[in-house]
This record gives sequence, C-alpha cells and structure tokens, in this order.
Amino acid sequence: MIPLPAIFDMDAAEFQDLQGDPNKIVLIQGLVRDLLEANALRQLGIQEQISEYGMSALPGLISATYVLGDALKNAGQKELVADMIVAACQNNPFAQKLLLKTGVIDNPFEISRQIIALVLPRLGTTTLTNEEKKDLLADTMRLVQRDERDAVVILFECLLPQQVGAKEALQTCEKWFKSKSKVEASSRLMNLLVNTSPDQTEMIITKLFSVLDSKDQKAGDAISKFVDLTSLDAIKGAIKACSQRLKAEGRNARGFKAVEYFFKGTVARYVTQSEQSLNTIEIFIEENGFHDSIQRYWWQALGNAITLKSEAAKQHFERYLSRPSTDDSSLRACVQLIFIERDSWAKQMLNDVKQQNPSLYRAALAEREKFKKVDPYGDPYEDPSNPAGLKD
Amino acid sequence: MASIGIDLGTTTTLLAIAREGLDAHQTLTVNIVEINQRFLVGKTPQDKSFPYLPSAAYFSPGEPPLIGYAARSLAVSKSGQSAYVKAIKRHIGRAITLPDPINKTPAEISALYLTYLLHQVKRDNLFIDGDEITITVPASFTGNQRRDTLRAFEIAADKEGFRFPPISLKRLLISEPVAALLSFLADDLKNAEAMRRIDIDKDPRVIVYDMGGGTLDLTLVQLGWRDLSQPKDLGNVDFQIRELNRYNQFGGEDFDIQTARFLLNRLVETNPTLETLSLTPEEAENLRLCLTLESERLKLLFNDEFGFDGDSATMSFTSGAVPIRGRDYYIVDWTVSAEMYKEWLSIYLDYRQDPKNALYPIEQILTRSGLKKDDIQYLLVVGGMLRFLPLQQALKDYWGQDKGFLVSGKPDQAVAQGAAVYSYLKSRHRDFVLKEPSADAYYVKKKDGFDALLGRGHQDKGEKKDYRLTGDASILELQVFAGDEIPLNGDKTSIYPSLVYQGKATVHLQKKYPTDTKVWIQASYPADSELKMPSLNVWINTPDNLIATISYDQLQDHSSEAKQ
Repeated sequence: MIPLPAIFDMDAAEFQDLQGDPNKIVLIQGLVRDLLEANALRQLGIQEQISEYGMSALPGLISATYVLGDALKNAGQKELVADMIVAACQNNPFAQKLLLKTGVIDNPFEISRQIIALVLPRLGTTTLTNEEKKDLLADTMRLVQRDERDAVVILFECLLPQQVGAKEALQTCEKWFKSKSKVEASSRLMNLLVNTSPDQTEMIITKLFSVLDSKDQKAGDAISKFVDLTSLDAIKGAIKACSQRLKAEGRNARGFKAVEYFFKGTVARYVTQSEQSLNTIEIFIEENGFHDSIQRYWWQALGNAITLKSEAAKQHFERYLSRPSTDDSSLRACVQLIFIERDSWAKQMLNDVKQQNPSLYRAALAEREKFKKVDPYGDPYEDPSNPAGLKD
Repeated sequence: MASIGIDLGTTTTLLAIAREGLDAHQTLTVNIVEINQRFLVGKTPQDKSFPYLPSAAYFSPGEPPLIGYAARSLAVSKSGQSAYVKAIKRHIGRAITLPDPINKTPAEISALYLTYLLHQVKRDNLFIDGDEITITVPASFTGNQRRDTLRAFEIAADKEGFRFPPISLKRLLISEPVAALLSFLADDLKNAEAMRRIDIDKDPRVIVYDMGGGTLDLTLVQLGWRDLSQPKDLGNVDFQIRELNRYNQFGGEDFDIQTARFLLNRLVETNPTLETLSLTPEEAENLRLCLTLESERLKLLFNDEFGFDGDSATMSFTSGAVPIRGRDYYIVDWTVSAEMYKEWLSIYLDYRQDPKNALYPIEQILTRSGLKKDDIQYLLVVGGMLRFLPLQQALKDYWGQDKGFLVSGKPDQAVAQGAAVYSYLKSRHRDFVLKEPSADAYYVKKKDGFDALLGRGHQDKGEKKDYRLTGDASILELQVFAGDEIPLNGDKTSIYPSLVYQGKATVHLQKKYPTDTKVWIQASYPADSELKMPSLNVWINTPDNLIATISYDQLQDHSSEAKQ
C-alpha cells in the first residue's frame, strides 16, 4: 500500500534498473565523491544535500559504489555510504528490489556488494510476491553457477527467512565447502542456514561436515568466525553432528579442524553469552557417549571462553584444578590453560597448579608436546573459478 | 515525391511531410499531417483529426490496445485490469517489460504509435517506394535508446508492409535539435538575405535548446557553406555538430508532476481525511494520472490567462473530479496567483546547478565545449515545452534578448518538420550526411581505476590499449563504463563521478593463461552504423591473436558471452 501523500515517489518502472536518469546518477556520484574528500563538518552539509534528493538519489548512490569503489575501502566510508542508501530507501518496496537487482544480482563489484550487504539487513524483510520469490531463487541459482558467492549469500539472506530456497541453500553450501575455496562465504551461508532453521541444526551440520576434509583448517577457521548458534537445542544438535562426523572419520578424527574450530569459536561464544548453559552442555556431552575427541574440543571451547572473559568458564576450571587429581578432565583442563597462558588469569591459575598439583602440571606439559607435532595447516587453496580482470 | 518526418515524442508524436514544387529550393513545403483519431466523449465515440498523436496507449486484457486520443480519453476512468501508458520514451533503451496486461517492452509500445502513423501514411498513399523517411531522437540518446527506436520502427514498418533498403535504415535517425535547426533554416533561407535571422556567411555557432515532454537536449552546431561557388540553399549548408549534452531526462512531464504535487497538497489540505489514506498501487497510479492531467490543464490556463507579464494576476482554479476510492473530490475555486505558480516551478526555472533545471544545462554545454556565452551567436529554442511562456521568459532573461535569441515559429512542430526536410535532403542530395558525435567517452575498469577506450565526439576508433591479466584464469571479465572525456590536464579521477556502468562482458580465453599475460583491447564504432554503439576487440598473448569481439548489445546482457 502507498500512503496517499507519497504517490509521486519513485515507482516500479523508475526503480527497475539504474538506466532511468543518468544525469541524476552523475550528480549524486559527484556529491558522494565530494563527501569522501570532505572534512567532517563539510560532510554533514553534503549529506544533507544528498538527503534533499530523497528517494531519487538512490540509483546514484548505488552507482557511486560502482565507480568510486576503489575509494571506498575502509569500513567507515562503507558505513557512511550505507547510511545514505538506507536513508534514501525510505521503506519503499521498489527501492529494496532495486538494491537486490543492481546491488547484488547484476553487480560485479565486490566492494559495492559489501556495502549493499550492510544495507539490506537494516531495511528488514523485502516483501516479495510468490512470483518474485521464484524469480529471485532462479537468479540466485544462476549466480551459484557463476560462483558469485558473496552475492549468493546476500540473496539467501533475503530468501530463507521467507521459507524459500532452504534445500538449494544447503546443496550450495555443501558444494562450496567441498570446493575448499572462498570459505568465508561458505561459512556465512552455513550460519544463515542454522539460524533460519535452528531445529534443523544437527541435520545441516551433519551434511556440511560430511563433505569437509579433516585437515581443512581454513574452513574450520571461517566456521569458527562466522557461525553463531542462538539456542541450546541448536548447540546440542551441532555437538551430536560433530561427534557423528568424528566417528565416521575413524583414525583421522583426532585433528578434525572444522569440529575443533567450531568448538573454539562458535561453542566458546555461546558458552560466554549464555553462562547458565555451561553445565547443561557438559552433562549432555558426558551422558551421550560421544567421540572421545569431543571432550578435548569441549575443553578447548572453555579455554577460549576464558579469553572471552567468561566467569562461568573460570569457575569451571577452578573446580577441576583445585582438586588433587590427575584424571582425564583435570588433565584436559590443565593442557588448555597452557594453551592460553598469555591470559593473565590462566597464568595465575597455572602457577597455582604447578605448586599445588605438580604431577598434573607435568602430565599436562607432556600432553601439550604431542600437539606440537601435528601439522597445523590444511591443504593449500586453489581457486580455479576466479575470473581475471585487467591491470597495467 | 514525398519526404516523411516523424517526431516520436514523449508526450506527442507528429508526422510531417515535405514536398517539392517545380523550383525545389524555393517551394519546398513542409506540412504537419493531421492524424485521424476516434475517441470517446462521455460514452459517445467521436472521430476527429489532430495535428499530433498523443504518445499514449490503453491496454485491456484480451483486446487490442487503444492509441492516442482514444487512450487518453479513457485514462482517468480507467478501472479493473486495464492499464494506461504514457511517456514510454523515458524508458526506451532499458531492458524492462511492463507488467500485465501491457506485457510489452518500451520499444514495442513505441512501435504501436509508429504503426498508427504508418497506417495512415499507407491509407492516404503518402509514401511510395524510393521515398525517404526520418525519425527523430534526442541528440544525447545512447546506443541502446537509438537501437530500440530503430527496432520500434522496424516492427511498425513490418506490420504495415513497408520495405526499406538497409541504407535507409542506417540513415533513419536524426537528432531532434538538428532536425529543428533544419526546419528553422528551411524557412529562414526562403527569406531574402537581408531578412534572414541566421547569417550563415559568418560561420555562426548555434546552440539548439530543445525541451519536449521528457527530454532536454542541447546541441552546439557550427554552420557554414559547403561550397561557396554553389547556390546558398539548404542543400549547401555545412552542419558541423560540435558538442552535445548528455542524455537529460527533463521535460514537460517534470513540470506537470511538480505542479501535481501542489494540487495534491491542496486536495489533502481541504480534505484532511485523505492524509492518512493508503492506496493500492493501481489507485495510486490513477490518482497520479488524474492530478497530472489537471496540472497540464492548469499549465494551459496559465499560458492563456497570464502570458508573460501577468505576475501580479490571479486566477481561480477549479479542478475536474478527482476520484479516490469511489468518491469524487474537487479543488474548488482555488486562487492561484502567477507568482505562486512560478514559485512552484522555481526549482526548474530559477538557475541552480542541477541537470533538472532549465538554465544550468546551457552552462554545461558551454563548459563541455570550452566556449563562453559570447562565443555563441544564436540560441535557438524549440520543442513542445517552449510553448510554455514562463520557460521562454526564463531562457530569454538568462540568455539576453539581444544576443541572437531565436524562437522557432511553432516550437512543437519544428522537430517533425525538420525530420521531413532531412528526408527530402537525403533523397535529393544523396551525399548529404549529418555526422553526429557521440555524447559519451567509453572506459574499461582496471584493478585500480578506469582507462579510456574511446573518446567522445567524432572519434570512431580508439587506440589499441595493452593490459595484463590480474590472475591465472581462463575467463576475463570486462566492465565497461561511459562518461566524460578525461580533461586536458590528465586528471583521470575527475571523470569518475561522470561514469555510468554500461555492462559486463565475459570473455572465454579458451585456455588458462597465467597472471600478467598481456591483453589488448580496442573499442570502435562499427563502420556502417550510426547507432553509436561501440564494440570491443580483445587480443591475448600476442597483438594479432584476436580472441573475441564483443558488441554493445552483449555488454548490456550481464551474463553475456563473447562471440568468437
């Protein structure tokens, strides 16, 4: 529905592409260039000037991200332009569709897409008809064929919350992880999948980890950075999936990077943010007969939670290390502290262990030595799909 | 022998015919052809001829579209599944299809208007084989816009059974300002030398300022005689088209919409319940249309009542019915002063640095050409919007009455008449060529920045430039932009804000080449085309290993693959 006073705003035809009014585009691009070169005070004036053009500035702002991309490399500048694009959209549904088309689907410029990716979540759900959803999914799959991964992730961000394309997204993510390239995009898509269907986390992670090579450290690293889970059930499902994957891997399970990094990143962040869940997860791990390595990874997650300043994790370590024992759990806890001994709390705790339980400390040091022999790096990257551009 | 000219305008389409008498140069007559139209007055069909066809179409599911006045007469009462289309020229050249029940591209809709005219041409036997026909386009139309106009004509000609040799199609288009200048000169040269308003003997520079319904087009032309030993007639005039402004979507439509905004405000002021009302897209479109038609009416009233000098005058405006959700609303006895009306339009009529301003584009074309106002001998103003007196006045004030300010006799008909004159010249003087420059330079995106491939103006072929691949790859992606010329001081970055993305081409290199492999690219306009659509040749590894030729059409298709 269109508010009556807004009937002269830009309409569907005008917002169908960036070809409508090239002169206005050139004008806005000039103002954006001035904005990037101006001091903070003058920037305010230019921003105001652009905002006076209202919604009609939008094609020019998008186009400015194409032609001025080389000057828009730092995060602050990207945010600045993203802010202006958000303001120009003014909740106009056609504006959001224009952003999807010219900002993502037909946009060959990486920096420009990064800016549009900052904009889209701030505009909320793009209202699409069933026909438009179908078309957008077809466009998305076309971009999958062309391996335009950043664009694909942005489009699935629009589609999945509208219950469209889950199957295709999962297949795409499997394909990407299998290719071992551009793992950041693969991990962001994985994050999107588990967060739009948290009840399907176990199935999603089982499928995705099944295609991962145990030594693929870069994939593991990207997963640890970009995948966040928001519910305890999702965490439990993910841990189950990790254990199944390790069991399937057999002898290679020990150094399975994706699982290890998933615990060090995703699980550690979850435990830090929902401290009350720590004991529940530990009991869940103890009671379910998971693969042996899960215990080790769990302690790695707790170690990283300490570096993230989790009080619950500190108390957990204290509970295990203050008793005169050298059992498996105490040993894992102590090894973990050695890994993070740069942290001042960990260092103090290790000193206490060294004095109060020296045999545990020695055993932990010996265990630590074994890990040093493991090759920390996976296979090198190859990216055969990347097209070349031009340089002088 | 007849020569036909068509002005395919944003709001109106005109048909002109030029016929020569016994003494061709003295008695060339050019007339606007009246177009027969059947439309509804109330519910009664009426047949009448008008000197133009409204560029409008009305679509109802399962029925042939109505064109011209027939479409306009139904526009306001439009309901249900029907759709009314106007100002489609603003979208020509874009890869869009209008939704059901229209389901046509802008080129296909334009073809409907041309078919309507050609049908009458055929019916009245105005054209025989060997005659020439010309269609006008804005001088600054891009390659895509020209291609779509040509496509529209081909559809229409095919439908009405006209056959044209390829050479006629290649010379089918002429720019509107140049056509208007031809029309002006055709008239002017009929006068005795002392009475002529343009003195060609002095090789004058003329800026033609053409504002129609949708486009403001400026062209700088230098005139002279081609051969001083020959008679000083139209066929002997040398037209050197020196400079164009970029395509500028600014015209009568903008004035009407701007006025309609104030009408809407007034309607809401007097009916406050409307302020919070939300409309469906169809309801919003109907209201927009209704208010735009009312503002057109107000414009005509203003011209009739106030003319140039009525700044202190007021008039009482009562609108027609404005239907909103089943109820008719009216603006009743609204006192509109000339001052108030001009204030509404001040963003367009008072100088400001915005392409959507009546005066600033004159400054732009002077800057682009490196000339000053005093270097220009004449400003010739033409186009339908020049009937609007406040615009004429604003231009006259800006330019100066005594500085060769020329108003075309019938500014709205000059373009069509000039097109007919061009058809006449093409048939009479086979070597008469009007070579138009391109409005844009073309660039390719490099890893950092852009590099010029083809200059603006009259350059037909760019340099063969060498680059290197940025990575190991079997695919090369080229992104092409159009914009201003790099200034003489060589500051490349100054052109960045002027660049507009044209499209991407994917070149398959047939095998994987390592990073730093040399690549050569050359852009040129195809030799036999006046469409100004450049193509790119790409060589790899050695300068004679041509790997691909990419046409402009392929650039527009983002998933295009190069022709081998």
